[in-house]
Amino acid sequence: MDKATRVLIADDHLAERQGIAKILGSAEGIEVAGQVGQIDLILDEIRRIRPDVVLMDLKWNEDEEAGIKATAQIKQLLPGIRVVAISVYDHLIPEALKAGADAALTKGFSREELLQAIWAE
Amino acid sequence: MTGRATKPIRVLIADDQIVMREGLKRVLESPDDILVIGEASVAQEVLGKVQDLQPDVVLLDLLWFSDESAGVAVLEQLKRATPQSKVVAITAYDDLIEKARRAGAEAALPKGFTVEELISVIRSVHRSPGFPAAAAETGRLDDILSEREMDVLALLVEGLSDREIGERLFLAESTIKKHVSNIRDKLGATNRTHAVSIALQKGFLQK
Repeated sequence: MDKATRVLIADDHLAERQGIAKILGSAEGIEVAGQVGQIDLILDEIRRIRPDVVLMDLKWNEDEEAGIKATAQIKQLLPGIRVVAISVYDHLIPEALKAGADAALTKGFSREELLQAIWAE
Repeated sequence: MTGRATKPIRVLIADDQIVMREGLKRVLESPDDILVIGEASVAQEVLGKVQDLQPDVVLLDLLWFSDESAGVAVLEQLKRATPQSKVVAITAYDDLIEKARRAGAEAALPKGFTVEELISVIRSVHRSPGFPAAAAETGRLDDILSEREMDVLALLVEGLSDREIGERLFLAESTIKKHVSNIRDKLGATNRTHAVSIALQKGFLQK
């Protein structure tokens, strides 16, 4: 059997991190390897945890560009890591994809959509 | 040991996002005095669930499927139909928080809350006595409002401005503004016109 896909949840909202963690907790083949709630700690956490996938919230504390910048940084420094952008704001999604995000979800997503975005090639 | 075991605070979660619902549930698993009794995932089902389950506290998301007015509309419904359930509005948008307060939410939380903040808000709205809109539904106006507020209300009903009311009552305009805002809060009104209409519905003139 393959190793579990290790996921890092990057989101400034605690309830959202916990929600994603709970949804993924019951999914087979996925391990929530870590959660990070501060944008400037994401890269450190990625280096420490070595996740396969980062779930990246795009808006951090009113800063709409924060997640997009972090996405670009991750894809530049650690291109092997899959980044799934998550946002309430439709208009941020194209920017995130341009910055290199491998998939994107708006926040009304279902459990299936989340799992699909994590797995999809 | 003193007293009896207290009943847990019964909470309903109303949010269109599964992530938020699951997250709130998870966060609220730890305190013993809080029990999540249900959830609503579309705005249209919130009122029905609150009527059926009669939670002590409703955690109400304000933005439903990108519709900024949906949460406030639900809130207004709840304040009219189920005023005994207290509402904590949750949103990422500061301007919506202000709207929620005006629409009668007992508390409002920006989404960046910590576990401690969430739990303490739930406890404090649950504890808070004398729910104004509930009183407004059932109580007599002069039980709800102070004597001075009744004076101000009488002139509000006549359509006077704050300045004019101040002149009549020999009070500063800023004092009148404060009274008007208290009247609005106590009646669960969204603005002064709404306060006047609630007062009239309650038979203010025949008093």
